[in-house]
Amino acid sequence: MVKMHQQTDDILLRRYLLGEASLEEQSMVEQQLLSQENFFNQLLRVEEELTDQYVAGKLQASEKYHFESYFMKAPERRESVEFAKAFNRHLTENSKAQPGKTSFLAFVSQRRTIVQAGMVFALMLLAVVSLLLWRQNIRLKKEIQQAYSQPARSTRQDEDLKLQLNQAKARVDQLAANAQQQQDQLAKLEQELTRAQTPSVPRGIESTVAVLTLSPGISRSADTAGIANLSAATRQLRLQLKTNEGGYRIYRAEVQTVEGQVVWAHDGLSSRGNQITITLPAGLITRSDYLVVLSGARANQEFEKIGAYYFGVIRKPI
Amino acid sequence: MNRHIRVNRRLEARPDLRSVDRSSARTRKGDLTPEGFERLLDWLDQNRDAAGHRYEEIRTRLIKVFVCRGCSVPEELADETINRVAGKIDQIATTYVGNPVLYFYGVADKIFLEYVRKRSTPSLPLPESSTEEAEQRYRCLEQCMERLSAQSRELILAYYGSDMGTNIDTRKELAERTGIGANALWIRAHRIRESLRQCVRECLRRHARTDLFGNAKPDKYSKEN
Repeated sequence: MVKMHQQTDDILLRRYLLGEASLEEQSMVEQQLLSQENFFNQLLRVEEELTDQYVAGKLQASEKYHFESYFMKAPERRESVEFAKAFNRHLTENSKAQPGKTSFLAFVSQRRTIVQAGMVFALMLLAVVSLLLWRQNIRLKKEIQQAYSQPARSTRQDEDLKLQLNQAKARVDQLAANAQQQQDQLAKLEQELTRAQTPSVPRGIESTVAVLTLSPGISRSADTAGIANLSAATRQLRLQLKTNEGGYRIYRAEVQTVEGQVVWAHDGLSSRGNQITITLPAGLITRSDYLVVLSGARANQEFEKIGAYYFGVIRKPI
Repeated sequence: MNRHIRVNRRLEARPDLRSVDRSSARTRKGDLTPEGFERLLDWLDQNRDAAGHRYEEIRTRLIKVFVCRGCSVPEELADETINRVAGKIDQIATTYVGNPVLYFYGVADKIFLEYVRKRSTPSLPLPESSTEEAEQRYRCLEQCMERLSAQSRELILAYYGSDMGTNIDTRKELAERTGIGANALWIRAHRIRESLRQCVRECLRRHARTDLFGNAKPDKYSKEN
């Protein structure tokens, strides 16, 4: 629409410039020339085109007539035509002289082409780089996922191991508890056995028996573990002799004073476990220190000394 | 810009204003005094810069109108138009309603009629420019082309081409190649062409003042004469 309007204006301006416009058209054109900058520029362009076409010999006969008889009345127009002739000549000679010369605009155009090609190349490069980055990104994501999953796996293994360890510990604790329980049970059984071996004593006189456990080789002055506390009510002294020498059929025990006087002896003793128990009347124990000599006899053999046991006696006052 | 400097610049564009004897209360009939010029600018626009720009625009276009009507002295007629308007400025400023440009146009129409009535003899037939004059013009043009920047020179050569740009397709192609709109491209090319034309005009004027041996000749066009 604008282009059509412009073409219409061009035709009107052309007629105006050649003096072919009516008075009304002339007035309208001139008022627009004074008030509208675009219209003024349009007039200058049409004026220039007319001049150049005249110089180039491209005006129709009637236009040429009006151009020469009206358009060129003003001296400025004549000067303009002379300039256009010189300019046309220069352009013609210039194009002949330098037909292959690369013009600035050609350079600009080439540069635009180069820039466009460069932009296409840059876009392609960008696309390739983007693709590579995308692939690398995916690879890195996978690696990160793997990195996250590995600790989880090892954590699970650690947990399994801890569980196994705890189970093992629990089993060990259970075994230890069982062993303790069995030891306790064993000790209880031994005590019951010892109690069963000793003559049954009425509950009321149970305190009349003193019990002392002795280990072989303990000197007289060793410690209080080998001391029997006897009271006036004590009737019997039971000595439990521990020995590491097993394998004897029977045993013999002699209770002697430190001077070597045998105050009590008994043959045909047997061992229970690693212990031989003897019970002697408390009335025989009048001194403060005694020695128990333990002998053993294997089958068809004489007695041989196995060990000696010292113990002291403390008489509690009544 | 200082108001007086700007006004003086406008005055420089009006030789007739410079010739006015400002110390005298008397002026030639129709002459525009600086005070009248000031009032004219105020009427055109309250803003001094805009008023100056508007004044130059009106004068340029009035000259073009007179050229288009075939006047041999378009500048004088344009200045006379402005003088007439300025002479009535006190009356116009208070009573006239509308675009001031149209008032100028109305006055210009009357001035043209006066010019036609005064013109006793019809315009003489166009004198053909001599070969020598054409050659001198061409030499001046070549010199002026050399003074152009490479960019301007290439643009104008490409725009007008060997067939003076009468091939519209060539210009369209050029506009597409340079990425500039057709109108903008024409304005650029036209400005370069006008600067060339001005350069050639000055070159010819300089040449007219010197003889074949480079000595100064009396200038028959000089105002001093």
